[in-house]
Amino acid sequence: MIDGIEDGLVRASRDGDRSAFGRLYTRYSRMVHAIVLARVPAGEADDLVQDVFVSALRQLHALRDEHAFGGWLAAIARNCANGFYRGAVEVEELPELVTHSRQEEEHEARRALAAIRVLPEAYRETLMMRLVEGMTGPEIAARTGLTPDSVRVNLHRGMKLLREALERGNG
Amino acid sequence: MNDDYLWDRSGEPDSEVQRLEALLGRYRHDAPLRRRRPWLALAALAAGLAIVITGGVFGYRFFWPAGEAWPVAAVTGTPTIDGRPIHGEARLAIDQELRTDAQSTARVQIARVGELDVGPGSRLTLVTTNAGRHRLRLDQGTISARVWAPPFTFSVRTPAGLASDIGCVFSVQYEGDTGRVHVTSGWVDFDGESRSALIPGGAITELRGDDPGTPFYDDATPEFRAALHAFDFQHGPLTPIFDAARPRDAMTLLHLLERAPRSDRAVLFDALTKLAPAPKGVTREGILDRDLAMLDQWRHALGLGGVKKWWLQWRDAL
Repeated sequence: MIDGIEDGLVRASRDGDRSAFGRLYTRYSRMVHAIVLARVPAGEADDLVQDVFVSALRQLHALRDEHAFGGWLAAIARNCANGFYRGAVEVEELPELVTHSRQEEEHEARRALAAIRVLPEAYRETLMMRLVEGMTGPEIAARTGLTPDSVRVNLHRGMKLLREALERGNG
Repeated sequence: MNDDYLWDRSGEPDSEVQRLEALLGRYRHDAPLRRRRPWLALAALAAGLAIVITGGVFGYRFFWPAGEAWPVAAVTGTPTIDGRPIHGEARLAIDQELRTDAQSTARVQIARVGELDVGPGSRLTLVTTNAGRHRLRLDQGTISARVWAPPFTFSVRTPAGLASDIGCVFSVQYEGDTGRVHVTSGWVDFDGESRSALIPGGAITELRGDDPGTPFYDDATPEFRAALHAFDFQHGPLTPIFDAARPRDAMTLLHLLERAPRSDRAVLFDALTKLAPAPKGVTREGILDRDLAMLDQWRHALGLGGVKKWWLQWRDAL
């Protein structure tokens, strides 16, 4: 789902309006970051978000349906993130358990992130947007083009699987 | 179970969802802990756009066929590429490893955007090269880079994280599990596993494990360096840092303030204001809440806001 303002931003961006593209960046960067973070190490995600938007700008002339911008951008984000591994860049492994109290929380965060990353794609992207990026279900639906019902189901099922995974890890 | 809170934060809060939100918020795209510089991201985007729309001016310099090998020359001794000795000029292709022994050094052309001096006892591998991105992996040794290109065009991965050039001259040294980044001109953005550092010209960041320390100027006193090292890597106290800080070390304290937990921000704010008064509009409450706009304002007031103007570092291209 995309509103009339975003329709206009997409059209203006395609006509070369850089400030319009900047506003699209502001609106969609969290969605792109969540999709990328679902696939690559956290330290690489911001870098890849830049690549996604530069790539989108280059390909924008080929987008015929402004309403499809969110889904189209999400596909570019998935391609860029998958290409990260094809580019022979090494994968960062989760570090060993750290013992200092200031870093225990960091360890917990990494563990939760790793648990989300092994969920099915639809759940992991939606949970990244909700739990990492702080987007609400209606926002996720508006940005991705998914129906609100689909997002709600993805959140419910994904959260159920995540709880189980974290409990297994604690057991 | 009622999922209203999970859906749109209405209804009764779900404690597990709240816990995960608090934990994972650090990875958020605009989260202060991992990426405190939204203006830097926009600068990178603007630079990327600049490449697209000003290809005529800078096109030749920044164009590089994807996967094209980089020219390499032996400077002293006999460096090797994948075990083969370099005699005269050679080429470093993707996935190939350049090695220097204790007696040898080499010079590498970074596509057309700069050059790299490789010190003795180094091992590095070309990972990616195309018109918009050139990336190396340094496993051991020392490299000195001179680059003139848009932010994040050239990056070096080390075991401690990713050093990205923001139009500058810098060196990276890594041995065992320790190292340092020393920036001579411009800026380097260093992203570790859980910390990042924006290192200005004239500053050093130590590397330990998988994270960078806090940047400090290369003329800082030994007392200041020792106190900062103890805080960054040995869980030492903040007070010795404050005691040894000069007004110029406000840059370091601002970095500490940006990454500090809330419990440390008040003492850091007080210490920083003694070195560099808070600019008009920057309030104690705002800084304690980690207001990004105020942190940026303070950074500018310290003369640390110039990374958007990478093209002004034109001397680095010479």
